[in-house]
Parts: sequence; structure tokens; C-alpha cells
Amino acid sequence: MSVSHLWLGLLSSIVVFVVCLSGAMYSFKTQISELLNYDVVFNTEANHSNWVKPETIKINFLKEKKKVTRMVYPSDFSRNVMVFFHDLEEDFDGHYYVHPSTGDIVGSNAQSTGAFFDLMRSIHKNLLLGKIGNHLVGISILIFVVLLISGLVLWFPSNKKQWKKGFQIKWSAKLPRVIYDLHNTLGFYTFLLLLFISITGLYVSYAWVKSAVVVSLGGQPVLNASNADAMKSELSNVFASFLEESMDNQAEKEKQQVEVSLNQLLEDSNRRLPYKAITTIQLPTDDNPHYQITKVKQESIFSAVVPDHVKYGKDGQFKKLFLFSDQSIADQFMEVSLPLHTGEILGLSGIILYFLVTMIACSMPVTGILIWVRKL
Amino acid sequence: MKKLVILLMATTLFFSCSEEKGRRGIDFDKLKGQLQLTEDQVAKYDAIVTKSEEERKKQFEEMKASGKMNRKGFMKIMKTSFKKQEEELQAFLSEEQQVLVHEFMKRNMPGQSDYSDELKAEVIQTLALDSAQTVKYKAVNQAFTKAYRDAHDHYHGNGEAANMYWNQFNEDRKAALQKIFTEEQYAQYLELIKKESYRGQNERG
Repeated sequence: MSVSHLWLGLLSSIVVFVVCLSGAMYSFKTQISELLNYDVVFNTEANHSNWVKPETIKINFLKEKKKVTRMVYPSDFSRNVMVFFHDLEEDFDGHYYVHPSTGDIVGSNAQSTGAFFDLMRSIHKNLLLGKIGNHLVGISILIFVVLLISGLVLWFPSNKKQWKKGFQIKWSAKLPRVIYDLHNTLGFYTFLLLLFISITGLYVSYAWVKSAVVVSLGGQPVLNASNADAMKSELSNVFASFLEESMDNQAEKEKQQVEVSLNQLLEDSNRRLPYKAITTIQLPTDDNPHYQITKVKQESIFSAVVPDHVKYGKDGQFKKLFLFSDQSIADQFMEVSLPLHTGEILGLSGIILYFLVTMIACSMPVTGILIWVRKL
Repeated sequence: MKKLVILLMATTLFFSCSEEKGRRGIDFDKLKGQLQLTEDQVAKYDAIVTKSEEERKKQFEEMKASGKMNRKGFMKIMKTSFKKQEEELQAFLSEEQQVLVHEFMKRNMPGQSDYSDELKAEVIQTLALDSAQTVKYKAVNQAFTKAYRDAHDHYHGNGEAANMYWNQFNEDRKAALQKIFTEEQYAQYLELIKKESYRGQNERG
């Protein structure tokens, strides 16, 4: 067991190190970007009366020849409202932050971290090696899962006296022992979370893992030659539901454009979804002629990514309420699989926890190699 | 010592191949291989491809610098640039090569997972669809695109699965169109779509 743990560890060490490090850096993308643009993202004024009405924002932007396409209201006054628009004169899409009470334009993100984090994401996903890299990462993470399990087996103390050693790092001991403890004990404490992060990562990389997870949650397997006949009617039903939606969209497009009060839509959605949330108002586009209001609840533990939607027609008539809780477990999992992998599902605390655990994973190949080199 | 050497070799191998192919969109080397260009044409072809790639790169950088980077803008630059590039290439190619270039670029246009807009317009015109049929025809195509993209989580990174989903939803599309078209129109439709075979491979993961 220890020999295979050693050789598999050596084989995957560099890739695991690089993937963990780039993943840990990428997890703070939103926070770093917001910090760099602190003055526009956050509202530092203490006194606030009321929220600026969406209708006011829409009219103000239209005066500047900008057609609002989407607005994102934060859950409290600590942040500004983000407004996406299409510039009718210069024909481009852009965004501004506006003050949550006055509606005054504060500015837009001036500092872009996109290039750096795009690089981190590419390294994390494929080591900048395209498809070969995808497979290298996938295989290395598969090996890492085996290493986690074999590591746990190796960690198990052989007798009662050894148990205490397995739970703590003896900082007062000599360096080789400290290194061994760092590998052994930290590996034990992070085992479950690292296993979870690895499997959700494999879910993204490998269709068969995705298929296995989705099917185990009662969802639809990935289509293949052996199940094509069995899945035919199920997929036809999927197509039929999209066709119904498309027919509805086309019928909606044919309707006359009437003046719809965004204020009323927002009030209606708040009545239907009465909780504190980040609220996105999506206005009709050429492709989608509906108004849609999405609320992401900020009161539950899964604060970051669980959305409910209310859909309205072009004439402002209520059409449908989509609750996250109404979806099947498999669909819910598919919707939150990425935030589950990144820790965003638990908000900032989750990201920090994942970061620490991932940095420990980063140290595993290093401490492992140091233990091995010392034995040479 | 032997183990250290193995470790060093693995590290060297890893970093020696750490270079990603940076090109986005259409593979013009592949197209070049299919065209059987003359020596004179090769020089012109290479010059246009290089110039166009540099122009696109410059436009992307400008868009990033302006803070107005978005998928829609990105696709607009790509499509406009490829269209212009096609016109420049057509200028020195034979008729046969022109057809090859047009079909290749149409087939490999980024974000184009369905039949080309050109073919869809041709269907409406050739089948002489009335306004109600046209609305339904567009709705069916929209349903196809949405169903195929919605299945993306299932076929992501798996070309074979992507192909199967595309074909399955295309069968559903045909069944839906059969109810909208007359028998004659449907027969014409089946003939027209033979012009463009499966396009789902352009859907990126």
C-alpha cells in the first residue's frame, strides 16, 4: 500500500500541486476584483432612506441613450446597484454601478483582473495544454482520489498509543517528524473535503463521472449507443417542453409593446418571494421577450447560488414561478455543481475554507516528496 | 539518486510541453490543406490569414482595455472579421475553391451549432412558408438550439455524445416540422438540409 501511495504520489505530484495552487488562487476571483474596484462596487455612505426604483434607473439611462438590459440589486445598502445596458448610439454593451438610494452613476469596474484569472482557470482546467491537459488533470485527480483513500488507510494507527499521534502535529519534534506530521495529520483532517472537491472536479472533467453522479441522484444518464433507444422518448419530452416555451416566446414577440412598470414587477416578485435576497431584473431582449426577476436568498446557509425566478410576459402579466426547491435533486445538483466545487455555495466563508484546504492539498506533494527524499 | 533523476525528468517533460495553441475559431491550416493552392495562392492565403488574425487580436485587446468585453461583442468581432476574411480570400481563388472556403467557414463559424442562417433563410424562401408557418419554423429551430445547449452539461467534452444529442434533437425537430409543413414542403426541406450535415461540433465545452 505504501509503495503504491509513494509512486502514484510522485506520478501526480506536479500536476496536483499546480492544479491546487491555481484553483486556490482562482477561487478569490470575485473578491479580488471587487476589492480592486472597491470605490464603485461598495457604497460607503452610512445613511440611506429607500432603494432607488428600477423604473427611475431605466428612465435615467434612457436619457443618456442607454437601454437597460439587466439590473442587480444587492441584498443591503453596503453595495451599489449594478446596471447593464446597451449603448444605442455607439452600439456596445456595458455596465455601471449606481447609488442604491439616489440612482446616481458611481462608475464601472476600472481594474480588470480577467486576464490573470482566465490564465489561472486555464491552468487549473488543462495546464495550458488543451485537450491533452484536460486528460492529464483528470487522470492526476483520479490518482489523487486513490491517494486520499490509500493515505487514510496508511494513517490508521496500528495500536491505541499511536492514535494520539495521528491527530496532532508535534511542533517541538525535529524537522523530519514535523514534515511527516504535516503530511499525515493534515491529510487526515482534510480528507473528506478534498475528496468532495476532487469528485466535483472530476464531475466537470469526465462525462462518465457526471453520468454516474446524475444517475445516482435520479437524473438522466449521458446519451450513448447502449441507452439511445431507452432515452429517446425522454429526450423527445425535453424537446417538446422547449418547443412549448419557444412557441410561447414567438407568440410573446408578436404582442404589441406596452409600457410595463418595473416597480410593479419588483413589488409583485417580492410578494411572491418574500425574503432578503440579491435581486436581478432581466428586461426583454430580441431572443427572450419576457421579463424575469431572479432572487438569490441571503438568509440560508447556501447563500450564494440558490436562485428562484419569476417570469412575466412582455405586457407585464405574471407567467410562471420557478422555485429551486421544485427541481429534481439531479437538476439541483447540476445547477450548483460548480459552486459546490469552488466553495461559493457557502459564500465567502466557504471560499476561505476551500482555499485553506486546497493549500493543504498543495503541500501534500511537497511534504510527501520531502519524506521520500529523506529516505533515499 | 535514480529516483531523483526520474523526478527531474518528469518535471522537465511537464514544463517542456506547457504551451497552449492560442488560436480561436476557424482552423485555417486545415482549410489550406483542403484547397490545393498554387504557390502564388499560398503566399496570398498566408498573408491574409496572418493579417486577419492580427486584426482580430488587436480588436479583442481593444475591447478588453475598454472594459466592454462580453460574449456578444466577442462573437460580433469574430463573425465580422471572418466574413471580411472570406471576401478577401475569394478574390484570388477559383470557383471550386471559393465554394470550399464558403462551406468550410460556414460550417466552422464559432457558436454555430445549428444549420447556418443562410440555409434557414433559404428554407423559408424555397418552401414559400406563410407568416404563421415562418413563426412556427423559427420556434422549432429555437427549441432545437435550446434543447441541444441545455444538454451541454451531459455531453460537455464528449464529441460522440454531443453528436448523438444533436441527431436525436434533430429527429424531434423533423417530427415537429412535419406537422407544420405540407407533404411537399417537408420533402423539399429534407432535400435542402442535405447541403449542411451535422454542425454540433462547434458547440464548445
